[in-house]
Amino acid sequence: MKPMKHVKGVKGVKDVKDVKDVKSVKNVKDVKDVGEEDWLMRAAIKAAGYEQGKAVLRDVAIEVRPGERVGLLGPNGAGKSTVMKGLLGQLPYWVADVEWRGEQGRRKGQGSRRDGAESGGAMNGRLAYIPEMPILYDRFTLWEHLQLAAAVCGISEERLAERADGLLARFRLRHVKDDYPVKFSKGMQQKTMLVAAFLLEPSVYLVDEPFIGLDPAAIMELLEALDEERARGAGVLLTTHVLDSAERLCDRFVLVHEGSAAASGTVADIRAAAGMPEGTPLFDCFHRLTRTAETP
Amino acid sequence: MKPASKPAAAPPAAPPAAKPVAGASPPAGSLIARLHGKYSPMRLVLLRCGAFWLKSVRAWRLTLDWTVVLYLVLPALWVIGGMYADLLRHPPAWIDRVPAQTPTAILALLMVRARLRTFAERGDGLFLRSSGRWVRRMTAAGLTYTLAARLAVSFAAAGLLLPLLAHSAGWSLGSGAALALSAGLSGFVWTAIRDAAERRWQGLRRVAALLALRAAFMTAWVSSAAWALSRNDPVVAVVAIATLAAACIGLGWRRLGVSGTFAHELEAEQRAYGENVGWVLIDTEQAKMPPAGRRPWVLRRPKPLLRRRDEPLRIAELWLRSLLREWETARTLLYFAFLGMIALWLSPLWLAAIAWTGMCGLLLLWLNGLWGRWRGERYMALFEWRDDVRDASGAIGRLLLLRAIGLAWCVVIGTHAGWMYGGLWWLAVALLPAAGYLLLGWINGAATSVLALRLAGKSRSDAGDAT
Repeated sequence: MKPMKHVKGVKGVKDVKDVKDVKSVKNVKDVKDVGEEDWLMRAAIKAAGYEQGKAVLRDVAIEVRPGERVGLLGPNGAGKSTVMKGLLGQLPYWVADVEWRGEQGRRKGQGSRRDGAESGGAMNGRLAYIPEMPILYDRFTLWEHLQLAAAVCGISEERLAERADGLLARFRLRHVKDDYPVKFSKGMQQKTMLVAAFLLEPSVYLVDEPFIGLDPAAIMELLEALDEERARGAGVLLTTHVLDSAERLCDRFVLVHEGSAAASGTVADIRAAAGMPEGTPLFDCFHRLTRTAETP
Repeated sequence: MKPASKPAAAPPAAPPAAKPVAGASPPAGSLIARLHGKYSPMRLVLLRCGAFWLKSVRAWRLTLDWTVVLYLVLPALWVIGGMYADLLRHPPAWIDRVPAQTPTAILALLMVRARLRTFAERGDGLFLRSSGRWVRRMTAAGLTYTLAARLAVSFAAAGLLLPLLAHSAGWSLGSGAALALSAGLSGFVWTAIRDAAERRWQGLRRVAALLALRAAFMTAWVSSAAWALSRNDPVVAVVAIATLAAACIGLGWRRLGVSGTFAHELEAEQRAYGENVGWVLIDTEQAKMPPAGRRPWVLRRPKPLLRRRDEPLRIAELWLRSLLREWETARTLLYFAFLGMIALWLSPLWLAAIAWTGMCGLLLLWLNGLWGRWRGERYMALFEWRDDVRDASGAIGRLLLLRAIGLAWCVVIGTHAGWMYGGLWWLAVALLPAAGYLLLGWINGAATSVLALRLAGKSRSDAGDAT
């Protein structure tokens, strides 16, 4: 039995002018009142993969609205990280409609590690990526990592100093800002990536497995920082397979299974897709949907 | 299906390697089948040693493909071999003037590059390191390899030096062999000292300690070897070799009893591989050396180097910082600069002018390669670079280094001109750098335009391929 598909289409996307001013969003409750048209990013991924013409991901639609946390869920190998890499312009095969507040993105992209700049999806003013495994440069101090991020993304040195100082204090990294992050512990390296991402104040955060490698205090700090960013109007797309946390944290979900979207929407939508009654935890819905998909 | 039998020497808690998987029999007659159940610490070290050298050779083959071997390596070996044979047949007069300490100093230089090998692998931490007996035996095998390698290197070097320097250094076959043997044993002693020092200190202290130890060891070795050779007494040689052999046994025995060395051994193995292939795999993650200290040693303070602070300048400054902190690159840059200075000083002025242009062109190409490599680093590739910022920061970074070295070369040519002709020719010391400053700016500007056009063409081609 095939799983019920509940993927929203991307047809009918209105112009960026229709998007409301996100500055008025004060907190998460306000965010929930944001209308269906107030999206920040819409991606309709038709096919994506690591080799030209060989799709490992098909027909996945993702929409992130201001102040919203969208959970990209799925079992190991489902294609969650592939979605992230595609949005970052790191996939060699990527056929997708990606719209940023109405700007038409690439229809079909060809990523290139060396010319990441040309691939048009990497970290910039509208998108910041917090990877599962920290990505660092071994000859930069922590401060220089932030300097590079700021310089490439057009942030002035004054703004960098002002914003980075607060972030370094928040993540308790101020005392090591002139040290090499490659010499840090895994958790501190992850915090370095968090500071670099928060520094950019993007429209959308792509957060890959945010709870791996961080201590409980750091997780709380991350969530608080993300909440502040959401209040600013930023959206969050996070991948995880810690479903209990996802259910508590996310407003909507996209469940990816075997390279395509098995279900999407709110918890209620997911329950409906799984055919489960009211009050069923996301974990059970997830189990039902993925088990159903695996049944011959 | 017959389960994998455990090696007789191995304790139950120490399956030596991941292959073969317990419960799965390998194909009959295969190498794995023959090794199946026959692992021993010595065999494992031998296999890892073979794998290490195979990996290194494969890495070198990336650069030395058959065309390079045929057109460069073989002719170079032919020429060098011919020159060596010529030196043997017709020894030039200067050979007799070579100081007697030279061969021992060469042997000492080879010694202090060595490190103690154990062929530890990260996976050992899962099970193997829990067995003290396996660890000791593998360490013993590593120590044996280290000693054998030191002896092989010393005998090879002495074998090449002996025919040349037999006369000036007063070597006979016996004294040469004794010197090689003692050099091999001393090399092992050095590896044990280095190993202990690296385990004891980290960061700047480690570097300082190793420099001091190297200097002390080389001085002690060169002076004592020269003294022993000057005595030309077999008893002195036998006593020296016996003492060194006893020191090797003592240090080796002591090392076998040391625990908590796994992390250090992994680092040593990574550095050994990096030293073996670092030059050919300079661009790859595998051969990259992590920074030695917690903080940078070069440009330690975050104080800006450049006064203007627009985005391209800020990025160019960060590139320069990272470049100068990468010792391999900085060293090559310095070598290139100094060898260039020597070549320009030794050339006639007209040739020096042509060579300057060619060398600046080469330097520019190399710097551009370094810039491209840096831009391709995973952290840099995380960000979306604006084309104008990318091109401008690359141009500024290249020009800063190009001018630093190119103008130093101009000063050398100008000084050479003044030195040769005197008088007004000394004005060249000031005029040539001024002209060079402008010329290098123009060359870099032209190169930047060409590179930007190439990148734009590549982007268009990529976009065409994709659609």
